[in-house]
Amino acid sequence: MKKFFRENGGLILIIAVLLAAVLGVTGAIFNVNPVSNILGVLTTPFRDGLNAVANWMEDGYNYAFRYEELEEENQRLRERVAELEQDAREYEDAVSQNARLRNLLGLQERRFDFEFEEATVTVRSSTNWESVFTINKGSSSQVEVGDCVVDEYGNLVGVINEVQLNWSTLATVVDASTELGGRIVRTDDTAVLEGDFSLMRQGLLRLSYLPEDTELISGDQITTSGVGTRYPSGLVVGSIQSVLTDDSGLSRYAEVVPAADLENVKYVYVIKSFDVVE
Amino acid sequence: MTRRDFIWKWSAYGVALLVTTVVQAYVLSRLPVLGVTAVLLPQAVAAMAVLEGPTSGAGLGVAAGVVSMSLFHGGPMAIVAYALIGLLVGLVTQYVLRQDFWGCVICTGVVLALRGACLVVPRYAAGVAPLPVLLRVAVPELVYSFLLTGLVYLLFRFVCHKFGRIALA
Repeated sequence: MKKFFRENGGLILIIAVLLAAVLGVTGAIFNVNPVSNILGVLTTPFRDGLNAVANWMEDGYNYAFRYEELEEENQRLRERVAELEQDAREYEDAVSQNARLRNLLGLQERRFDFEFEEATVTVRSSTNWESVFTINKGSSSQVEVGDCVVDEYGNLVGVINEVQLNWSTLATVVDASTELGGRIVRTDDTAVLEGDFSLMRQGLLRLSYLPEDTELISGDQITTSGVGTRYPSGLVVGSIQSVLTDDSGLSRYAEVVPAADLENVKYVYVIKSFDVVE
Repeated sequence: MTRRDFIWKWSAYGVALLVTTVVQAYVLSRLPVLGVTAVLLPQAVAAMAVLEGPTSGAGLGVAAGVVSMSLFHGGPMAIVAYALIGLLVGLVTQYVLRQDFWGCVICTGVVLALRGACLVVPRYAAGVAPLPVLLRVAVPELVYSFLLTGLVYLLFRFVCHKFGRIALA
């Protein structure tokens, strides 16, 4: 029996168990995964190169087969830009007024203290059981676990959950592991934003622990509450799609559509530091 | 087998594993079917075990486990799991089935089914989602991955012919 296993891979199996044990202990005690680090560093150039090729092919496909659709979208976006420029002019007036009011009330300005790190999404959800992106910035850019990641419009994309030297992974807002405080902008009520596996497949997340007397309507905007000071407040997460009652019939929850375009987002911004404002 | 043959053989299989990894991570991830993407690492390990035997299968399983742990968010147990897959598939095809394409297909089917069960059962037990929801992910993933077994087998068979057991026989 001993000879059988010796000749048929028994030694390899023992080596595998020892290697797994060493890596598991190293990861658990020192929170270090040198193998992941090395492999990630080695494959990053291939990942970036292949990502560029894939994007080029995707652009070519879009140009060849979706030209009319893209032209219409371009026209819609031009009109939207014009609207936004008008909004921006009005916003500047409102910002000035708001700044004066804040000064009057003694409030600190929040968003100007965000320190951003621009990154590119290189890999999306490589498995079917989680909604995770890989980005091309890591500890060398002072990215840390728990940092929030937003898109160019300031919508929350996800939270960093693993950091290596020059790459990181983030669990998107719809990932089943997501959990953070949320605020309903219209009513100023707070609740809990949670990932849900069944909703994740539909690209949605769940807003739970709703106050009993809260009246929600479809389209209500949800932002981060900043409760617990772990995440900055005021980041747009999404909007309510529907309000439902859970299986027990005792409590309500809402399905939230993320504001960030998780299917297509390419450029993201890691919020490396922020000041907590009361 | 000389030392040079050994180095060439394992380098060639390493490249085949790298190709498989790159296709799974960067190509198939952009080609979902019914909302799921396919996996290729289990088929790679099974193909290696069928073509080269249980020891080589376990060896490639260790490498595949390290890749899974590093790039696909698998834990350290992925190393042991893939090594076991290589070992057992090699033994089964050597002593029970045949060391050919059909042996690889049968073993891959079983491995993918077990993998699906290992992903579904803990999540169902933990109440992550109802069973029908989990199966709506697991079954298409299994079928999609299974349909790509032939391509992975052909790649490894090519390497086997050029640098592996068949070339050296």
